[in-house]
Amino acid sequence: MTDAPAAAAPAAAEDEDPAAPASDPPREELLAQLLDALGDGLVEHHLAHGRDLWIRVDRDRWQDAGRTLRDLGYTYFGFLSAIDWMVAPEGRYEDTEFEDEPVVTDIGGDDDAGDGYAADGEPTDEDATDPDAAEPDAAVPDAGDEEATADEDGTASAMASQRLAGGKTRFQVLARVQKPGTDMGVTLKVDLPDGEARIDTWTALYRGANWHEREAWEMFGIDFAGHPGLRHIYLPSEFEGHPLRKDYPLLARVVKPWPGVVDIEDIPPHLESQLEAEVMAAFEATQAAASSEPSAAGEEPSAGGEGS
Amino acid sequence: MTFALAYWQETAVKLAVILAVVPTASLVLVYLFLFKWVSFMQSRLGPMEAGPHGSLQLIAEAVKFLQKEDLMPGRADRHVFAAAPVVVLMSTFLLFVVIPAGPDLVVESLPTGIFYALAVSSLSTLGVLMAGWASANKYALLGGLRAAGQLIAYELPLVLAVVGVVVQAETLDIQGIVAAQADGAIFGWGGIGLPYVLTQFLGLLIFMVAAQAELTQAPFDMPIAESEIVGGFQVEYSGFRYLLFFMAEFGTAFAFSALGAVLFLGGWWFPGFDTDANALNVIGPAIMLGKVLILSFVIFWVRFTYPRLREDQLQQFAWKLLIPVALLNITVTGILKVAF
Amino acid sequence: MTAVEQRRRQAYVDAQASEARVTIELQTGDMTLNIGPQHPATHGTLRIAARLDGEQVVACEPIMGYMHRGYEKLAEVRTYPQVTTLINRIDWLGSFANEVPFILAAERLMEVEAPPRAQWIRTILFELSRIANISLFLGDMGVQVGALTPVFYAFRDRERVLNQIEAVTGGRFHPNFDRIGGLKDDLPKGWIDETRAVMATMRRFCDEMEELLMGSEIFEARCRGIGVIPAEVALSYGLSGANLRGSGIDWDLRRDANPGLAWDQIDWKVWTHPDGDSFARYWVRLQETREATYMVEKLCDGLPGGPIMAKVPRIIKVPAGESYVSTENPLGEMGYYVISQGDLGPFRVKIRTPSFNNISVVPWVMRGVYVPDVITILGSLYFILGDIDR
Repeated sequence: MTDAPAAAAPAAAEDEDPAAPASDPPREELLAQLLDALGDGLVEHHLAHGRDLWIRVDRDRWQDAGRTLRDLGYTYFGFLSAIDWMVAPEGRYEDTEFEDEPVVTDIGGDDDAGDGYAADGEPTDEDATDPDAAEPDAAVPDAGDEEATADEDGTASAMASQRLAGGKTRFQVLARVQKPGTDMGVTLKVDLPDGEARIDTWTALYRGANWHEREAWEMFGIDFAGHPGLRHIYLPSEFEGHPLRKDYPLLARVVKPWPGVVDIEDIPPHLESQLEAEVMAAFEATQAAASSEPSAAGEEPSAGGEGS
Repeated sequence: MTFALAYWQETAVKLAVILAVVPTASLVLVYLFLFKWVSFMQSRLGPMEAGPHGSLQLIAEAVKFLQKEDLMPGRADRHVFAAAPVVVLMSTFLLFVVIPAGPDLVVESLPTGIFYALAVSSLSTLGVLMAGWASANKYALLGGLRAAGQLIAYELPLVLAVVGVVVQAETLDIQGIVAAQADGAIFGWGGIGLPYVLTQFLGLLIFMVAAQAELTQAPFDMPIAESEIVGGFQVEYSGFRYLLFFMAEFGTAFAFSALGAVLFLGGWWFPGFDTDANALNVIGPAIMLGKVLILSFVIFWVRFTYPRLREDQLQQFAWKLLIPVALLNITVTGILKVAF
Repeated sequence: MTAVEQRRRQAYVDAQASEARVTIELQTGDMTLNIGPQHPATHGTLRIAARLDGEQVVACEPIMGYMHRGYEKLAEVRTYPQVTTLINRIDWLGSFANEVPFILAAERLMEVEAPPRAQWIRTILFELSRIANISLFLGDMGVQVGALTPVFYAFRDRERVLNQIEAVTGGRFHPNFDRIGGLKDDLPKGWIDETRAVMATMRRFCDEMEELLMGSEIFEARCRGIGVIPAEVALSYGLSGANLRGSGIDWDLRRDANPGLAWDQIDWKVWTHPDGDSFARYWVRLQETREATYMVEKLCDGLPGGPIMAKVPRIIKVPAGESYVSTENPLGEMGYYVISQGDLGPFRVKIRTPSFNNISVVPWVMRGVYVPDVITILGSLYFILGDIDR
């Protein structure tokens, strides 16, 4: 089985070539069985040949989908989580442009603090945005296509729209089950209607779902109907809010836009020339002793002279 | 060497001897086995800084313990908490009263020496229970209760193992047992006497196992169980009080090894000497020390090698294995004693 | 009633009342014991709230989150190369293995294939991480059951493996060596010969553990039959790695779902054990460590030449898409579900860690066991806090 490496390497490369497998009989058969069992419940699917199968099911057929898969031999519980497709209102990268204030979503209702939550800790309507906020497009450079979706009161929210197996809602539940002994697995997605983040529990089908659903509730605020005890798993029990939601601010980003920004003071003028001389001397010393590869990582000797 | 001392002077000397010997004994054992031997087994060096090759480490540790703050949990039962280590240490001191180091070198030569020794050694159970209860700590409570069950369960094999020796020596007096081994003969050849390890090998085995359990050393260290209940009944003790427990543990290890040496290995007697030769008063301690170190070596060797038995496995081992075997030993000894 | 009768009646009632008080006081209810968060046996800050009836556990619940660092939220504001610095620290004992699934997922989205030499070296480092991680477990299981000495041998011998990892990557515990498209650097000169010698040492260590710990009757008495997890329950909870193979399920992601590394280029064996108890899990991990040493030697033998980095742009922008890659990490199945929107950094990363699922079985398996067995079972499930809490 140990081929000569040169001969083996192209074979391995071929497997990874995305264009190579044109068909995938096991997964196609699985897809046919699922379509058979779920019918309309299977809203959309995406089959990446040789890789994976994504299916998006209807929320009402969630437990049916789980049961079908389990009966088909997919008894191994991978994970269950959620995706928040909203684009985060605060910036993410070094060249994000900011307003003076961080972008806050004004939800209305009794949301006095303006952080997306009403005074009693209940999330207010998630999709309203502050009409005075900056254009979401400017917040994320070179983002993928974003759709502005309009909901009933006419305000817009930016949501990422490049999704496998479609879907248009803000929250999606994501789960994966696998067949032990093989590389076959199914990734399931479910759209949760906006304003109604609730779905049936999988605890009776896969016991491991218990803790994963607790985490999804804690991080996203998704209610799992029928779960034996939805309570905090990572965070203290008095914690308010759902951290992995995109409108839950990452405080580090709000306080300081980019951690790499260094607070630089101007060098006092009487020290400037002295420092410049020292730096140039050190630079010349390294140049003299330098090997073939200049190893200095980014420390430019002329920085001392500028003092910006 | 006979000079008359008044009773109170004699008692004072004896007290001084015990107070000096017990910590010294602990010190020797701790340094040799806890610091150096276990380090060698675990492929490391052990303490090397305090004194040459770390020989003064225990002095340094004793000083460290002495200068620590005297902590007591808020809800602890103050007097019981303070008394518990003293009770345990007291039983160690009392044990050393009957251990001989030579024909005349014994604090008190009681006619029922070995009986007294076994009785007094079980006092430590009380101290452990006191510590476990008075600490107001669930881990300590678990440890104390485990200790109660274990120490009581292993008293029996200890005693039964000794009974075989007593039957063979026909006396309870410890000096008498040593003399019986010295004067004994193996099929008529009196060259090395008759150390009872030859006839009572089963007894020695049971005695060592039971001693390991009485000392709560692995594989019988459930009451302490470092990785589960974090020190068990000792968990709330620190500073000087912990030093008392520590000294008691190693002092008792020395004492049990000494008992094993006199019961099974011939004590302070060495072939070639008369049993009441004065020379033995001089080299007797050295011979005793040698034999004690052999037995302690085995105790600590086993301690650092084996995992620990679970509480119910431990009890099964005592009641279902050790005690029947010890009873068998006594029966066979008795039969052979009467027959020959 | 006369006064005398009244007094008598009162005395009778008082006596009954005091006896009732004593009876109620003597009735011991269940005791709640907190094992952790500071405890030598919980491998970190895990708290197990156990309700005990004497020494038996009636119910038990793990409480975690003492080390929750919010990696999934942090990954959303990092660029792809920066995410590797975070995920290094999830399973900090088998460190290189954490980076691999994420990098592979990103490579899949970019449709970039690392050159063969890089894939082989990745596999070698992956197996070295496995050896470093599991050899600690082999010694540490001894500490859980009370044998204090084997863990010293484990630390001593795995230092040599960590030295090898450090020689290549520069870091013993947090290498941060994997890059999208390949690796940061090539192997240093003489590394392969040294690694062969180290593998011989590790095999001697495995033999020593087999004799010293697994051969001890007391260890067997403490581990056999303790914490039996049947296969269906294990699958339903999502247990992975040696926990699954110790229950008899023949599934190894390296063999069955190879995401592109070099495991299919060499001969090796998957070890399973049918019992499903703590001893089985220990046994499987021991065999896997020994197997890993053979694998590293075979990989070193067949290592191809060539570049170690594919052509990728300097600023990496991963095209939009979603992909999930999981690998057979030392602790189990670790996977990253990466959602990209064509940015410098991921849109969402779902980190599927093995220990989270492995610990979820604890309330089920701990019913009715003794306190010492709690420690044994926890030890045999083998988790790392960073892996549970992320």
